[in-house]
Amino acid sequence: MVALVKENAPILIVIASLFSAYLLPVFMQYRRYGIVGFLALATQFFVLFGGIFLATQVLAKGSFRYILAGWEAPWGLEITIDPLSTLFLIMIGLINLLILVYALPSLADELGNKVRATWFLTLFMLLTAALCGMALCHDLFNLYVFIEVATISGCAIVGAKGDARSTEATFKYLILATLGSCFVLGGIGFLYNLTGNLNMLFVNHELAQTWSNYQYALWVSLSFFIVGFGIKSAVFPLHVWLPDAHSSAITPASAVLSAISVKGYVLGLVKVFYIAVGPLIVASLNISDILLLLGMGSIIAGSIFAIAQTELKRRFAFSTIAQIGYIFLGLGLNNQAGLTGAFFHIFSHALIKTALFLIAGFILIKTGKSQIKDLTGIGKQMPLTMGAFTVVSLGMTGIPLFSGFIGKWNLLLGSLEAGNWLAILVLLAGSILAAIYLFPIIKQAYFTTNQDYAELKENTIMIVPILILAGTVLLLGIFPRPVLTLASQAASMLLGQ
Amino acid sequence: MSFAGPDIINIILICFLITIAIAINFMKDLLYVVIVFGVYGLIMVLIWLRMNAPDLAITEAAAGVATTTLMIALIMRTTRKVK
Amino acid sequence: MELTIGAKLLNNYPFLGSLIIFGIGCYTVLSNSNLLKKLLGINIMESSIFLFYVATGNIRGGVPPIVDLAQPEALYINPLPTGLMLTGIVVSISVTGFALALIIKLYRFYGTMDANEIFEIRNEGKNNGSSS
Repeated sequence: MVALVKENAPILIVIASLFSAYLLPVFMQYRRYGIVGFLALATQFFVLFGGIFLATQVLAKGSFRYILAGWEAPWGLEITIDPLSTLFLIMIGLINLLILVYALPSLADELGNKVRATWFLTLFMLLTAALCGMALCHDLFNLYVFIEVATISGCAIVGAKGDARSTEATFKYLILATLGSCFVLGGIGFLYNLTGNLNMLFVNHELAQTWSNYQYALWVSLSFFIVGFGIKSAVFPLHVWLPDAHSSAITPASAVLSAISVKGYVLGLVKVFYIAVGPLIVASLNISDILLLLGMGSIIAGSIFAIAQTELKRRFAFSTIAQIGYIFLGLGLNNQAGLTGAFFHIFSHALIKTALFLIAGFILIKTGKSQIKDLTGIGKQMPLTMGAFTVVSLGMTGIPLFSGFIGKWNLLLGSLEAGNWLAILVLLAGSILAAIYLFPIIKQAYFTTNQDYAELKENTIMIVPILILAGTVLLLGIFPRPVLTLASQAASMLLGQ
Repeated sequence: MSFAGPDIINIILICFLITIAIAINFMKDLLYVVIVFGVYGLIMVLIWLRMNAPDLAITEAAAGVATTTLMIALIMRTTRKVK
Repeated sequence: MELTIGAKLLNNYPFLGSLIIFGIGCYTVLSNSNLLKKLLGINIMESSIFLFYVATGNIRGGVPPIVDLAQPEALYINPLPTGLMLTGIVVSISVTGFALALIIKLYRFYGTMDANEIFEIRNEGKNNGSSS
């Protein structure tokens, strides 16, 4: 039994989340809400430990493939387990587990009743399954199907609250995200038309021989992918849906969307560009420069928009756009250090952004305040929460000893290696802008006094995930070795070294 | 390889599709838009049949034309009643 | 024999047509403020991509891939793209259903199906809320 699970762990991770998504409503029918919560937590534990188990295997004996149902590659489906996908699995498991620990006590109150809470958990599990599938899949059409599942469940999660504002945001998100998946499907169609294969490895082999004959068609295909994945991962000119969707959803939903879901689409882009097409072709068609430009625009524009926001969650939502810009910049640099920095930044930003959204939600629940100007003196009322906020803000700006620093340092090294001075300037400006939009909140929290001063109780279970996240941000800044190893191995695998 | 020439009927059908897509963009009355969208799906069914994809033709006729048009028509009835 | 550009386009007419329809659908989504029309634009875009895929697998003069023992020499078309597009059609139906549910909900909240009017109503509500 254990051997069977170990052998088939890659596909079981996807199947377990998918299966538990459809089991939750069954237990809801019999009013067993305790089992619902337990099952959801157990599934996320399974994803996390499966990810860690696969990561140890990958580190021990290199990346490997799992063949589904015994059909070999050109006919059957394959799953790859490489450093990148295990990094994503660990991230998904860890973040989702902490979000669930935060959400389970308050979900029924936030959504109205326990039935709605169970449906929310169902969608949450579907999103988990789709993201795990995106991390593991090795087939272009499989990628599309998982993207579509993630899109629909992600939209439904935004609209779970059911008020006017979130419904409108959901519709906007749904239309733009479907537009994006149309573009992705079109890009896959071009690649299939050029190579006659959907398996990424076979596409890569075909293109390596014949790509110079089809430069224009390949360029069109890659631009389709950029537009599609760009809409879904909200880089600067295509970000219009993100602030509404992420700020109007309930706290666990905005945390999971901002921290993981957006990066799942970045992972799709990485898989198509670096595994299916190959870094050499991407660089020689000047697609890397487009990624670089999108990234720089995102960093600057997202940060400037974030400074202008007066609502806490909206400011964090715009900050997500800026941080996605760092990842795109790293991808555009197209060298070892840049890609390592991008992947490390994906992990560290997931921790930081989850912590920020959970803190915003916690403050909203405890004090009912969502505007930044109302948060005067909150540092004395909620010392633990604002302490965690200070830690993750320092992490976000990229100060040494915090996890944000490692990713940005690698990005800087990558820009130096590429000799791109504009990128270095933008990276530094991004850090300063992040300080400008985060530090006033800290200053207001600690150095202003509040008239209606009252000690608020923080000793609920909801504070635990926030403290764990803040602790992990610190820990990862001091001991970055495990994640950094996975990230740099992923980078060298993608660059074919 | 001899140049066989494209299939004229397919070209005509695709031209129909383009015309209908433009018409959907510019028409004002939503009821007409929905009806024209049904016609769009039917022409799509014909194209699938001519392109040797009968399975797609069946699915498109059942799901694409019938279900979508019915769903949209029902929505329009609901929204008009509320008004 | 070197073909002229016009002959090449005419030869690959399904791809040309599907990209034109894709562009029109994209324009419909982005330019119309009516939510229902946006949804129809999405549907048009998706069906144009289906056309692209099916044309990829199609062979002129081929037959559908159903084994007919009477014709052992028949030229079967590639069934993979049609199989993929069955998935695509199902996905587009589910997106349509979900979006229609959202449209009904928005109509109950705002009493209109027009994105611009919804925007105005929401802004008025915001101004009244701040002033009162």
